Amino acid sequence: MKSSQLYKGSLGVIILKLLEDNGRMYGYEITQKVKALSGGKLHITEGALYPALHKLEAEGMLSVEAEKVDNRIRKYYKLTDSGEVETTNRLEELDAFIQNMQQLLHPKLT
Amino acid sequence: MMSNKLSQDQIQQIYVFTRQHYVEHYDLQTELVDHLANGIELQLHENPQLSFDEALQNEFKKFGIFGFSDIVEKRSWALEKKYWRFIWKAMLSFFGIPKIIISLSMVYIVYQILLLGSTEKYAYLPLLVLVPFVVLVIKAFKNARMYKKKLKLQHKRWMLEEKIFGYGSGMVLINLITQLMLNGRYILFVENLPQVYILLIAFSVTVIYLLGYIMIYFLPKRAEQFLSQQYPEYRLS
Repeated sequence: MKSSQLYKGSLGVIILKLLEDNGRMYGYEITQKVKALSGGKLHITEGALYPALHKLEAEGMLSVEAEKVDNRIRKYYKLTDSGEVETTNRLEELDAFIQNMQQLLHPKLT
Repeated sequence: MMSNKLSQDQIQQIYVFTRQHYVEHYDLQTELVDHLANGIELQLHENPQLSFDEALQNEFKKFGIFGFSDIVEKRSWALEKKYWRFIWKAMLSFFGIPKIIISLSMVYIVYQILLLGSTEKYAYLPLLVLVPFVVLVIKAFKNARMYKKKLKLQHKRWMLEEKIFGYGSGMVLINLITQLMLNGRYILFVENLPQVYILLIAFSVTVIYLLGYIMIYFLPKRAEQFLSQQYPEYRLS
């Protein structure tokens, strides 16, 4: 992830939104997906991703599933019911934030 | 689809690698092993000349100078929170409709004992209040012994299990109970204490009884159930 504090604050929303769109995902898949979606501009570091996932899980937003894939165990995350509600709330909050910032930084002079 | 799938041996090597880098718990090891393995497979796919060890080192570098330590630490915090949430939920149930009768009668019994104890004739009666504490401490030691044995057999450490058998961080409650037992007599044997205080003490003692019961009997007994909920891989491994 770019070092900016702005991106760090949004990591949770990014994860929630990705899970909303893709159903269940595993950690590595999330890093790759973010890279692909942002055209390589955004890179989530491993050191930030897993703490964020574990925090959301401990808060009851995510549940985990495990499966044996290629000689190893893979852990998938998906949204819980309260996670889905939280996703909607946080996205709305983020949208409002972006709009407000835009109005502040680029005031339309009529 | 990539053809460079890692072998069982290589997966085991990555497990060893995570252990060497201070990831002690199997749950976190498993997640990191899968992550590293994915990265290594991609590297080997893009550059078949690369050796497995080089690819592993490259992948590890992406975790930054602190390696896995930050992830381990934050995972521990997250599970600590979860542990206390279990306790809180169980605790609330004792103040819900059917169980509140148990809680209230416990407060009443302790209150009566302390009240009687404040007269000179029955001054040693309050010692009774300490009996459940002794039972709890003995059970806590038994649990600890059992868990130690289990660890020897299973060779895998699960962070949540450790929280359950370590009673959150640092056996706070056990300390509290021992302190209470040692200093209890100063609190319990005060003469002519106003009844409100006695009631307050009776209430606090009851809350600590309940907390102890939940931490030392209730949660460890259901550890398996909590663990398979928390770790779907608990059954796979």
